[in-house]
Amino acid sequence: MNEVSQVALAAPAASLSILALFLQAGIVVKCVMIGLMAASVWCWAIVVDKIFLYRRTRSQMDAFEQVFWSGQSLEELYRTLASRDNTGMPALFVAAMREWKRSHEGGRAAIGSLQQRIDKVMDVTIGRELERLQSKLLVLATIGSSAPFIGLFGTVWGIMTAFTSIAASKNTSLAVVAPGIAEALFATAIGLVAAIPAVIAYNTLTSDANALSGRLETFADEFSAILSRQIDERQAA
Amino acid sequence: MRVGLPTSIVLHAAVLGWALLSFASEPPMVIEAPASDPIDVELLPPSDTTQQKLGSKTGKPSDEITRDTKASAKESDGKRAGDTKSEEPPPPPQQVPTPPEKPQPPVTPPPPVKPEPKPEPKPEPSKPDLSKLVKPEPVPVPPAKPDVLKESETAKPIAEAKPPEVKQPPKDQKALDKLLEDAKAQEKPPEKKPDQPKPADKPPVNPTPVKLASNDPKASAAPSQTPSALRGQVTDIQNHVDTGTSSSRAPKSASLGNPNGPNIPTLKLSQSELEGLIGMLRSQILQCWNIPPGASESGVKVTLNVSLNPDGTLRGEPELYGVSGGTNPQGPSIVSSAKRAVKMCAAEHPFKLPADKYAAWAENRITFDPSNPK
Repeated sequence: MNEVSQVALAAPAASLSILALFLQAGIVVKCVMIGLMAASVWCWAIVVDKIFLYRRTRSQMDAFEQVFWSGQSLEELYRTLASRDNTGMPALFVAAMREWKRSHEGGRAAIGSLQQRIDKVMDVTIGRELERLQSKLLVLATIGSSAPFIGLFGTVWGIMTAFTSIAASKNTSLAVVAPGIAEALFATAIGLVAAIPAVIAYNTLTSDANALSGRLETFADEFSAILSRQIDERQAA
Repeated sequence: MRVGLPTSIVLHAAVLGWALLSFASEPPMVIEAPASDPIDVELLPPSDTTQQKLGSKTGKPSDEITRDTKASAKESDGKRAGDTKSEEPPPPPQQVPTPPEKPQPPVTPPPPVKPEPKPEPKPEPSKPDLSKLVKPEPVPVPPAKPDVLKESETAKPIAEAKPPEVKQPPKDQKALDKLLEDAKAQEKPPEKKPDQPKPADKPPVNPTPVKLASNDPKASAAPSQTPSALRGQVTDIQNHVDTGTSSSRAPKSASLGNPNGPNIPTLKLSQSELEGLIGMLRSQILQCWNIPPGASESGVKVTLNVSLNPDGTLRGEPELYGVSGGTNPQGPSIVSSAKRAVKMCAAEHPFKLPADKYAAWAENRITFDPSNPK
């Protein structure tokens, strides 16, 4: 009788702060919780980084396109940009211009295969830029799809231990069961907390990255067309 | 990454801190829990209560019971004579013929099966009180026995060997019966035995032990005694309720429990199971019962002891346990019709009862009520 009343009184008071939930959990559940917390931190770090990266890239593209279509001499533009460490659209422009320049050094007549080479160089540059934009998005996808399961594993494990303790105490009072189940459910909660932002961010960032890459390809096609025209003019001349 | 990781860490720390603070301040919602005091609930399977009724070796017959049984025994002797038990005249049972087998039925036959086990175990196993009390009895017996045995050539070694023990009296009785038949001239010794045990027993303490002791052979033969004790109680209660006047002497001692029944595994049966088994048997028997005309108005109720074999056949004749409302002249015919019903039923088709619970229905006490045959 005394034991029962003590359990009934003590258990609920002890259990419900989050810190207590974590400290009461078993080692497996603790590991799951810590892992999920780390995943959540990592996930948000990636999200923040990508958001800044895309914003920066987008503004960079805007600025470059403005300059590019301003009628400024491409030679001058290349001269100013070539000395920098470029990313994004400027990098694409610099790579194409460099190939162009090399082919025309010494006043040689343009060769028919130059167009192909420039296209190749721009493709490679686009691929490199895309990889930079989309890197670590897969981490978000992985966290988003696996975190719920990891949390669920922690929950199942926690409930198992809770039932074991029920069997040990031979007391089915809800007060005995509740802390164990609460801490077990806490693992699923953390898993969902990590997974939901990860999924949302992955979808958003992926579409953003696709938009940026689309913009890069469009610019590459336009620039390729310009260079092609230049090549033809020089051949004719 | 330079920006993202610290930002993320700071963000998580902020969220965690907020969660810790907000949840920590919320525990009040838990506070109501203590208001409800846990209620102490004990779960008792029905078998516990039924087993309690089985009693234990250490159980002593209460004085009340013994007195009752004494009184009832005395009354019963008188009554039974009047009741026209059937087979033997009332007076003889007390003196000599009683030992045989059925002369006693009015007085002893029912008790042998159920009450016997309890008293017997007590003297034998351990209890000093009973053993002391009982022992005096054997003392008078042995002297008589040797004489009888010597005189009659059919002396049984067993009887001689066991004289000191309580059980001997029954054997003696059997031996006596045979002896009586062989040599009726020496009727006195046998008479002395039955007479002696009773007086000797009564002074000491328990009338029941004596009777029981005398019936030992029968009791030992009947394997299932524990359940029968239970049923004895039930039927006792019924008898008290239904027929206050009916002679219910022996059954009371049954409440003490019978340690003797080791041969039959104690069954854990709930009260309802037990009643169900008895009800099954009852309904099967009552189907075969042809109620004598006019019996339903007579107010007579007949109770028989029916012992069964595991295959559902009868083991021995059904024994009359008691008749209520026995003043009615139709009593004997109702009794015989009830006995006939049991025999007919068993002969036509053995009773169908669950074999795994044989211990519960090996010994049955069935009441025939013509006014309410179902």
